Amino acid sequence: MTERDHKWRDTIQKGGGKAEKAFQDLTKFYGPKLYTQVYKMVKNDSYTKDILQEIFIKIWLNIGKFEGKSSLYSWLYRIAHNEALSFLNKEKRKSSISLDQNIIELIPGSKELQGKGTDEILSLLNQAIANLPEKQALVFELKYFQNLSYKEIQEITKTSQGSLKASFHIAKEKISNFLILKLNQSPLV
Amino acid sequence: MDNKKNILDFIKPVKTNVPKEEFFARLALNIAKTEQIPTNTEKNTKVRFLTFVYAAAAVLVIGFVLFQQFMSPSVQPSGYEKYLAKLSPNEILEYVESNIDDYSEDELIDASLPITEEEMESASFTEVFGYIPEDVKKETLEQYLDEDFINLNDFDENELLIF
Repeated sequence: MTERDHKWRDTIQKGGGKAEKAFQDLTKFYGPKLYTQVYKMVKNDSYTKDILQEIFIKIWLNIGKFEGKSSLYSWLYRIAHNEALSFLNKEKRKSSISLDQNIIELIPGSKELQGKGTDEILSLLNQAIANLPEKQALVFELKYFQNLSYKEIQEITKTSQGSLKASFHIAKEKISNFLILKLNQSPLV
Repeated sequence: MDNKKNILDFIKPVKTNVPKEEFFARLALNIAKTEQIPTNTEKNTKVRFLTFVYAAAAVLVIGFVLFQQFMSPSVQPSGYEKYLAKLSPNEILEYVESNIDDYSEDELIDASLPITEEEMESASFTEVFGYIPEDVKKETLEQYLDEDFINLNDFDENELLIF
């Protein structure tokens, strides 16, 4: 856990006016990252904002219990993932949610992707990410979807850049193999 | 697909339109104002339990130390011996003469019983005869021996060694 994350957690734990300010700073820093992560799963701005509210209530009420053995972002990432999944399972809206904006674009030139829709590919992509170990999943999330530099990811996860590069490479290989396997199966799952 | 390329190279993530910073600031403020952080009762219970355990442990340790002190015999000399040592022989004699009527015949006989051979062998001179004040001179001792008709020539070498 970074020094900044430690400070936020300790200040929120103590309560009072400083706790509100620290919580605001934490939300402003991690909010956009969690928004992108959740949006990719539910594909709707309004639902994403609702889920985000639930996520940050959980963070506000439970950050005192977070022991700091992993990075704060790993903890937040897990909460966000579980909240989004819980929303999708509860509402059974996995395939019925209206897509506000495209999350991915398909570039021509791939035999496997030919004739497939972005929604189908995104669904497979989300499945592939969900099967990754947590560390690889969050590195992939920050690098691939949020286009952060390794230096920025290092500051968030407190992991060396060498290790981050290795994690990203492995994650990319696993997702690629998963996609090819699923795309070669018919019909598409 | 080009074998040198990864399939992910053909999937390009589109930048998500993330709400502005004000949205997140307002969200945090609303939550902080409406949601009460619960007091950590589990932690408080744990602290109270630990305090009780430490207090009980302290009582046990103090009790054990006091018990040990109570059970072990005192090695300190009694006050009675200390005060006797400070008195001169004349003061003791005066006290005995003036109070001898307070003691029964049996008590006086018990007090004057001769020392057994075993006691002589096992005990040191001071243990048997008690404390000899520093101001008792050699002449006084010789005078005492003459008065009691004690002749040192009657004792063998071993018997005299106790002196």
